Amino acid sequence: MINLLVRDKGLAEIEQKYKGRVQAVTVAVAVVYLLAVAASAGWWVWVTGRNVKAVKERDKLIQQLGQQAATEAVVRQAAARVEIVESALAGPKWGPVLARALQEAQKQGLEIVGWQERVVTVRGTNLQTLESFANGLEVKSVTKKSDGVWVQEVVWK
Amino acid sequence: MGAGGSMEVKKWSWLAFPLLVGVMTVVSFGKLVAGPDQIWRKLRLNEGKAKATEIEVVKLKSKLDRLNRVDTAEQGKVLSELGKAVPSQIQPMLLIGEMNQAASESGVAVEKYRIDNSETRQALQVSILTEDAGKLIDWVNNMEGWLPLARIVGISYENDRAEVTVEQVWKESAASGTKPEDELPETGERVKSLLSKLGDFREIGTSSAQTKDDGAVNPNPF
Repeated sequence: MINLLVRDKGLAEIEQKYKGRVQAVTVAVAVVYLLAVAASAGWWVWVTGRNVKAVKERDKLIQQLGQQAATEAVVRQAAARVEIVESALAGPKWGPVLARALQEAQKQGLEIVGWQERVVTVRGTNLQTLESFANGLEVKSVTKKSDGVWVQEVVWK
Repeated sequence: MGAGGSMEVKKWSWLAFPLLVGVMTVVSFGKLVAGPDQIWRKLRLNEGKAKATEIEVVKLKSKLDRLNRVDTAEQGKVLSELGKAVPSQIQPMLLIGEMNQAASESGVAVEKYRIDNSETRQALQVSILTEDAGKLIDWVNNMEGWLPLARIVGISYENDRAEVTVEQVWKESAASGTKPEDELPETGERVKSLLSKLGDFREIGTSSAQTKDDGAVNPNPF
């Protein structure tokens, strides 16, 4: 025969020992759970409200910007033309470069007879003067003509 | 079930609440954090979207403020000034005018010239006669000082004759196909500096295009 009285007594002891702790933990978990759910719901309401407000404002601004399309087009055209003009102005001016080469040649008593890109051709009767003119520059060629005149091609900086 | 069973159930009924909380917690955890719904993740994503929209709103507001402050008449004037430097339409007569005016001022003779057009630039090949290299340099300086801007891309000078290639760019004003969120370009300082640079250039009027050719032979420039 099974002794049920002993089993009941054991269970009663377990109940007595753990009921209070289990109930306390349950209440704590339930409170945390409720807080988490409430916070999530609040967060959702807040985020949705923020999003709706922002989208509404954005749509309104886009509409207002649409009304300013003509002004924007003028500003953009001006900006594009600034780029174009800046790039057209960017290249070096040749006038001052040529003038410097001419001045230098005249100082040495030489004559400029040719200019192709940056290669300047000078003519003179004295080779030493031509050498002096070419000082610091890249000499492309030096030729002595039949009439005894020297022709020198140098790359101008 | 008898009275004994009922007593047994009543005795363990206090476990119903912990069990219910346990089940709810597990289910909620699945919904909120893990599982296919991942409500918290979605919320975070939505918050990110809201933040992005708010940033967009700030940008749009600032753009609208700037547009409201734009003086369209002033912008039109700027556009017109810049258009004098690089026209929006091809204007060969202006380039010819510049060439002739420069020749007249420098005392060189234009022997012949020819203009080739492309989609964005026109190239002028001009033969200049001068015994004096100084006058040629003067002509180059003059050409480089005109509006619309002309750029000397090649000079070949030999035996009192110079072959010069001059380029002039032109560009149509592009139609605007922008989105509202595209930022407005900031050009205030650049425009100021450009206009001040362009102030050093001389403007050739269309009337100058009819200036007399100094010995030029212009059978057909095109």
